[in-house]
Amino acid sequence: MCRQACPVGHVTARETYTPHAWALTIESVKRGQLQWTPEVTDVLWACADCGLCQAHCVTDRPLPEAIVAARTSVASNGDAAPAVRAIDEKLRAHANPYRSDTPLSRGGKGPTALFVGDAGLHLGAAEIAAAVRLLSAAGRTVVQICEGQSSGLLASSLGLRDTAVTLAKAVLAEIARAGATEVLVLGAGDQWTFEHVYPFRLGLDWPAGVIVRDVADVLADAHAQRALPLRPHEAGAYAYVDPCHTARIGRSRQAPRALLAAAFGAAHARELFWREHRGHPCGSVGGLQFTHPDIAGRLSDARLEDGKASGAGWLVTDDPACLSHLRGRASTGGVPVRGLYESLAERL
Amino acid sequence: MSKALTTDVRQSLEAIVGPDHVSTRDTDLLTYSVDAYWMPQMWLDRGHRTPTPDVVVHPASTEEVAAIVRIANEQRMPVVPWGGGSGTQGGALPIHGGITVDLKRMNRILEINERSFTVTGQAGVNGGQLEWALNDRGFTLPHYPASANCATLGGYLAPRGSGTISTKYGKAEDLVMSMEVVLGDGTIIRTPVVPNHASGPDFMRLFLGSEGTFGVITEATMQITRLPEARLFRALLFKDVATGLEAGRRMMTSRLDPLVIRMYDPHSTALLVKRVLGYELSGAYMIIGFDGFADIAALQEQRAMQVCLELGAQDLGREPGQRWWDHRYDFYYPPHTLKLPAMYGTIETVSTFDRIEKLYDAKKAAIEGTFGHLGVEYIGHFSHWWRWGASLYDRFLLKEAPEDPREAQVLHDRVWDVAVHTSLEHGGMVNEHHGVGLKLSRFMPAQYGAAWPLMERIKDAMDPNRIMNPGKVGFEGKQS
Repeated sequence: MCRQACPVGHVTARETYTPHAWALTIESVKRGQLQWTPEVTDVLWACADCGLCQAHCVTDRPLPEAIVAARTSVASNGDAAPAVRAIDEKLRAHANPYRSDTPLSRGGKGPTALFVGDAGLHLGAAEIAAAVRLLSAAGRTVVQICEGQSSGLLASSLGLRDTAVTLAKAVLAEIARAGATEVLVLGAGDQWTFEHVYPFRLGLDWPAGVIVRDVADVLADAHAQRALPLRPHEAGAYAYVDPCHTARIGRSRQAPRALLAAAFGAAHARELFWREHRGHPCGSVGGLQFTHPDIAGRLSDARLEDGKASGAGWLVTDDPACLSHLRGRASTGGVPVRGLYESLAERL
Repeated sequence: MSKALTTDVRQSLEAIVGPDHVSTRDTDLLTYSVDAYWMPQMWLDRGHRTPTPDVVVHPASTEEVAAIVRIANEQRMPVVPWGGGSGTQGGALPIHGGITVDLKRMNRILEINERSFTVTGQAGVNGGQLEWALNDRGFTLPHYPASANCATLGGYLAPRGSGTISTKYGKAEDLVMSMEVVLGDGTIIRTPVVPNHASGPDFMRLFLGSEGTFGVITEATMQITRLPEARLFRALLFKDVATGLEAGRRMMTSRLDPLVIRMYDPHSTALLVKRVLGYELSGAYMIIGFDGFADIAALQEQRAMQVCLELGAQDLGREPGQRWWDHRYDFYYPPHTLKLPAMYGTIETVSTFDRIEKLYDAKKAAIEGTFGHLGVEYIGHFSHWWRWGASLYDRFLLKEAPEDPREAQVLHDRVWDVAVHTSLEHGGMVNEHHGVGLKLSRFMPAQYGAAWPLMERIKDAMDPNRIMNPGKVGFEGKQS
């Protein structure tokens, strides 16, 4: 009954792709009224695992966890779709689903670590570099860790629990090796992974004394304290696209907006309909871009249409995967999409 | 009645909406075979499949809906409109198979008119999304059913739904200004977009409550209002239902214009109010609410409190009132809602102030007297008020329902028979705001009496081949 927020239900307009129906499908299999045929597993894996249903559920029902648990059960029986199994093989072999020719690199040591991850290295290297420049300008020295290393969120969402645990343990080992007491992340997905997926889905303790902060929060604080001057620039109307998983972390995304207002003017800020607590994912979520590229594409197109409807001339986001995904769709005629940190770094 | 889907029919449907929008997948057929009615959920829960559509189609426009209905007419196939699937009466169940027409692709908000205070949308727009869009511009569609986040605009109107604040703002049917409808022969009609008129009978109202049996609602223009400056809530405790009803009657007849009056009977207070809100109280728990300009709302509340306190009510303060408002939907969602494997039903009705208390007493006595020995419980609250009467939202509950589905169905229908006939015998109606659907269809001739044949003739005029949602609202299909 939380379907008003469900992005997949919205873009597909199918009853079968709603929170209610995913629960019904799982129950129907348990009752013996459906079997995990390719058709039924296709439905199960069409959920984005974006968390919006639970975030908007009046009684906080953990449907995403039930869906992931069902996927885990199906996958462990070998009944997952070939696309899911292919992702599993890539993650196991290369720790990322994107490339097989780039070895993992070890980061340095230091108290503040920037989690780069697989999407950061393979999809958003320029955004990572810009974030580092901005942090440096703000007087923050960071070491980059886990370059090319999946956090385990993708595997977790797809029900590949063992793979997710292996990947997560590698991340935790890297954090320990770096000696970090503060891990900076780009976007809500990594924050949710570290704070929720690790302890609650995968049963892995987050290291005591290590805090997780969003880079935008760090930079916004620095800007407010006059430690990060940004040169104002007229670039027309823009809109910030909240990254995937924003709704489920339950925290304000005012920091990116404050930074954009400082650099590009508050008067030029526009807001999407699907924003903040109801922020729809861009399509690069829950593995949909691999298992259901059609739905992922529709989610992206919906974000771009939302941006156009807001009156924005350009869109901006910070999560490297969201940025890459939206840019890919925008290149076919949509509104331009820019990286938050790339845009801000130009204003140093 | 349904003919099996032929290749030709499927191809015709695909030609209208596109192959991607026609489905006979088993998961789809199962999904569209169950709504929020206890009966199909019970059969599924007990391990049995229920009737499914032959095919599900997803039109994107009114013209596509009309084309689908024309094909259905040619083939004499049932057409069952589907919005959000949140109906509790089985109104969207494809009991004779046929074509289920899911309207959710028709989800565009066409216009928010800030000068005339109206919103026009396609029938498939989700209620929650519509409300977000209005709120972003400082407006609200003051129809707040518990199903709002699931239901669609068309689904608001088809069964004549009520929302939490209908006491002040009216039911969905009071908020609609115009509708576009596809009739049973594929004709598209639209009613005038005017506040009211005297240009002949208001035929738009025929479609309110028709639940897809006269046609498919494809678009509607609704009245909207500004979000209020203030909303004030307060909780009170009355010693019994009779005193609380008298307080409500006095508030309504003196036109204090409350946003909401909600009074739980002592059993509901002990069971539901305790479970959901955490208050352990003995008596009848009442919420009153007022909204609008803050000073005017405060004055209305002050006068209402005078009424209640004169009748001996205990003022529980604002916090429990606000808490009820904040959690008003929790009553209807897991883990608080009534759920399987129990047997339950909302047997709500409506009557005038001079009869409503006796109606409540009679239903309570009838349900508990007839089925109490089986463990059936009766609870109720008074949820929607007019200046002439109130709605009794009463329910029966059997925690240990028969495991055998046929046995469960027979008992369920027996309880409903007693509940509805008691309502009718005491000046109530078959239903006030959930609609008729499949569940109450058999009671319609008794409800309408000598007027029922007229309703049948209207049905034949609207839907000559009786393909539109057969078996609902008292209208059967034609036997082929």
